[in-house]
Amino acid sequence: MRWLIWKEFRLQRLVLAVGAVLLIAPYSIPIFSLLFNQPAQQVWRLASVMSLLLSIVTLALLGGNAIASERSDRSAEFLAYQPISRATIILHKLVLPLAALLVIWLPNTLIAGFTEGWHLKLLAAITVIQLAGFCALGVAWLVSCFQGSPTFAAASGIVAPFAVAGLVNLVIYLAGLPLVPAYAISFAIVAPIVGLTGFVGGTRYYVRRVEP
Amino acid sequence: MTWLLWKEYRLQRLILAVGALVLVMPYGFPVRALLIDSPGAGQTSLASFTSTILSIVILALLGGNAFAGERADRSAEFQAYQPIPRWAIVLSKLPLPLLTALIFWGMNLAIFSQCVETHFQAYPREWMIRFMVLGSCAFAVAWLVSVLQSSVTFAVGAGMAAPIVILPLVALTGWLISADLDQWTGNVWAFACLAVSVLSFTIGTWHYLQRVEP
Repeated sequence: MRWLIWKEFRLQRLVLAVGAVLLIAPYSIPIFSLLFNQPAQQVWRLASVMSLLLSIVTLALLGGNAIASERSDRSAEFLAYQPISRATIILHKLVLPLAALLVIWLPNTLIAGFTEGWHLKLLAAITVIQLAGFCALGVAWLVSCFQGSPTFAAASGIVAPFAVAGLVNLVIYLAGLPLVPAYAISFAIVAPIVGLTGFVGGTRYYVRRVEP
Repeated sequence: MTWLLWKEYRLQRLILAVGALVLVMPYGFPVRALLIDSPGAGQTSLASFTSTILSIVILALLGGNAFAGERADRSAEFQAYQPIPRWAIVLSKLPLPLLTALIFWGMNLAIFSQCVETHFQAYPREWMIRFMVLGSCAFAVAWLVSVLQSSVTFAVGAGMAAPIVILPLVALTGWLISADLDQWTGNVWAFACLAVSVLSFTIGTWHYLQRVEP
């Protein structure tokens, strides 16, 4: 089924190009610090955290574009007539976003860890950003499965981590809990649940849906 | 013209709904602080700062969806057959993004100025202005890419990436002329983004006026 992966690459190649720019551009800051002979250790950490933050946009664009864009360019109907099961199609659609997750998360985490040291505060910050990215990807994926506008799907993905953060904040307030320890922990629990629910719900819906 | 505006509203309504959410959401924290004890000026100014940064995303979405969205849903061809001049179509596409920018920036700047004047100095006012310029750059580049092709996602992505791509170019120029990096980058980044936004918007509009759909 290599052609399905090739088709996905062709569908997402422009988004992947944008993602590559968003991944690399923040590292221009430490590189210029090196050129100016300034201490660059803290700037490397800043660059990796910035790159991780920008990856939320990349992941939302990838998730939002995955299925809705095939409806908008009318290739979804063509694909539906091919002798391939919908489960196979969606499994191949998962390859690119998951590969992107790995390519974005791994180097950024390693760079932040090796330049700043593996202390708990840094790991917690990185984990929260990564979970926000996963949540964005899952929600964009879900909305992309449901309708034909990749823009709205991507926008929903981008806004999802903020909406989760707001709701967690509200629940903590209503429960009367102290904000500081409860907030990060609750977000770290709720964000991946929302992301995973988006993935599972969207995939299940896609497998059952009759195009368009 | 009214129906063109209505069509634009229908095309962009989902993004506008997301925008409304993004505008209001960061203020959840200061509202919470207000309900519990006292409103922290720090939290309020941070909220207006965050809301302004998020406006970059919304403006890129609006710019990217403006033309490519119509090509993707095939309404561009239908519209091209109507007896409407293309300048009228372009003009009808402007009020919504302008209104969105005005609401986002007006509200956030008003709240931010209030906070800075009373207690809080951590987030300099010029950075608010710079983020507004970055927002207009994201919108204009997304607008240009949206005019040139039909992938909304790419247009939006290009718009969002534009200010981030300009930053290293500005820093490189600063390095080449041996300028003070911090000062140079802070000032020139915003000017470069402003120049790119004017250029992108002009080229995009000009190309759309000349183009024959699809």
